[in-house]
Amino acid sequence: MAPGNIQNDSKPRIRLAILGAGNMGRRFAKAFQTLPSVSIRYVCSRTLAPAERLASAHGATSVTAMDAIFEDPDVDAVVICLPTFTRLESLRPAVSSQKHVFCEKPLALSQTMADEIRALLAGFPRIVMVGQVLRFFWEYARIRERVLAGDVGRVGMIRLSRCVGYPGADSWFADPAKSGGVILDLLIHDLDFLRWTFGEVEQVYAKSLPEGLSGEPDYALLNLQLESGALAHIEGSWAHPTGSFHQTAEVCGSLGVLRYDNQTCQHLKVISTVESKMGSISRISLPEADPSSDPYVAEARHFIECIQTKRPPDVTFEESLRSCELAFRCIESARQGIPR
Amino acid sequence: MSLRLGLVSLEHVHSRNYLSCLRGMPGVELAAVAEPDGRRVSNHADLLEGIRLVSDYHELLLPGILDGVLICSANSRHKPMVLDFARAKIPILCEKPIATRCVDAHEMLAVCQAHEVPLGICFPVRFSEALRQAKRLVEQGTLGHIVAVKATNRGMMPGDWFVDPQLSGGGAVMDHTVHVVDALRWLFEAEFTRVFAHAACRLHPIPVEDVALLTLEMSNEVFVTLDASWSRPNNSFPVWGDVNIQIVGSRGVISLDLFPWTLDYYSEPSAKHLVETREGNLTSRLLENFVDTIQGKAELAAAGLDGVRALEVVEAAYKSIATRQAVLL
Repeated sequence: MAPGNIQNDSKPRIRLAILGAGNMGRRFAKAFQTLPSVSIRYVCSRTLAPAERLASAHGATSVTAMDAIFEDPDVDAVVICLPTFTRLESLRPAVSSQKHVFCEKPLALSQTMADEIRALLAGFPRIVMVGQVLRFFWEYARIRERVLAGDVGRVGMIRLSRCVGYPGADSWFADPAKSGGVILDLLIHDLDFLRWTFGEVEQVYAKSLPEGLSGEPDYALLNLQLESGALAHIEGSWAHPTGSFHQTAEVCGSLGVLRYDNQTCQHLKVISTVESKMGSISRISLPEADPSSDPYVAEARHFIECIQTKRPPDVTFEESLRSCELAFRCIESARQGIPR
Repeated sequence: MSLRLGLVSLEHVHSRNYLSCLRGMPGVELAAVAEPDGRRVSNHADLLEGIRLVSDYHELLLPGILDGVLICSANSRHKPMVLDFARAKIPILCEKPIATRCVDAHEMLAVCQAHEVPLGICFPVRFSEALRQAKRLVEQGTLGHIVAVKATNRGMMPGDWFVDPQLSGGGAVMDHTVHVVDALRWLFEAEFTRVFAHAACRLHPIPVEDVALLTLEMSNEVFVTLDASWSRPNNSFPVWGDVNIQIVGSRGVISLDLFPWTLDYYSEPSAKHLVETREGNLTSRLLENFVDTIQGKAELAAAGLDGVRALEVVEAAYKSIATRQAVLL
């Protein structure tokens, strides 16, 4: 790590570059900006206008090529918020320039890419953390705590659901070759939570839209059996046209049932006929978080603390790659029509 | 003259509901109830007052006693009872599933046909007004191109003969697959073509499966998941269970909740959060359809063949659970 400035609390200031000025780039810039020991030095985007907008909001320099960032010794870490299919283009120079890396999920688009990333990051001495943000949601962490404490007894059925509006046929998300479709891009959250809380998956049988129907909003239903013997059902939808963000979880065990539905426990609900500013910028739905426990801030803080204290992050790249590999198994099952 | 209906067996948990509906039905006389087990009789004593009670159902096969019979026994006893009443030329409404094996169900159908006796299957979900409206909306193209269905039919662990595989033929899969399967066959006018299922016994110390998850494909290329588990906690859950069907299309989503949580009651006396659901008189409409059929005024909403088609999915699900592969129908 570059020496950095020393602050009052003697924690080194961490100097970041945000790669990508889309939805997640904006969100992470905002999340990191709330942390006292962070400064955002660069915002990089292929097109200048969004980079400039985001950079000026955070007092950073906007660039349209990444080279300047990787060559600058005063950048400690990069936050990768670029489309999934471009992962290696930013990871390779990040590793060769020895930057700490925070990478938005999903970490890999294919098994080939996962293998390359694993080889690339093996023995890399800097912090690498992946944005498996569900692990930082209070609700999911609490479900996990109760399950591990034995509060629901022997787990029999886990039902997870994630329904959002369609990112749009013109978006790179709509092309499975670029995003991995709804199973990889959206359900990576639930697949990672499933593995983290309930262990590995023995067998999956997955259904999603046939690829011939691309251009229609993707939808997937997964039927899984875990190594523990418990069953799991996971729904992923870009087919809910309201664009509202809906996530639910239910765990059924021998001692009871835990249920969570984000639409029944909102701190704030707004109904208005005025089109929202977010609505006109973006059709990608994100959870509205209570600012005091914003999971994006929590994961940003964890990444910074790992850099400052030189400890490995709770979400390692290996963990995240394994969750990607489970998603690849699901996609294979759906494509081939057989259990995997 | 009113129509004389008989109820054979109080074994099934639904029998109490049938008793109370039959007692209040205009134009219908509950002529007799057959039940050999005194314990079951005394459980329903309040509804049996003034009703002729026999312990051996064979007494009701004699001519001039019944114009129709409702069979509400344990699954594996449906077959001998249906065969007996068919041979006695008495119209039959049989609790679901029609039987525990398809080979038995086919024999039941053949005997009923040979004796020209109508055989109806208790699929009350077909009478849901919400389901009927959903069918209209789907047919009108409100959802665009239909992609998938996510359904649940979950309940509490029923215990009793339901967990004795000799009598029930199986656990949650046998008990909770057929309602949604029948509803979707009717809604889409399509058949099931492929069945995959995972099942396990995880929640209760019983010899049959209590969690079950089916993934199904239909001839209209719609894919379906159905959670058929006995996963509603027996002591703490406020309602018996659910039937939920979410239909997903390219242009929209329909969510059906056949028993919506309608009235919350935070009850001090029971120290529980109680919930009342709206049932929508499904059972009454099912019985009315049977009565109308006997009187030649209607056709059976769900007949024996529908019972067989639903049971075929159940049988395929058990085959899939055993082989861990998808099974073609």
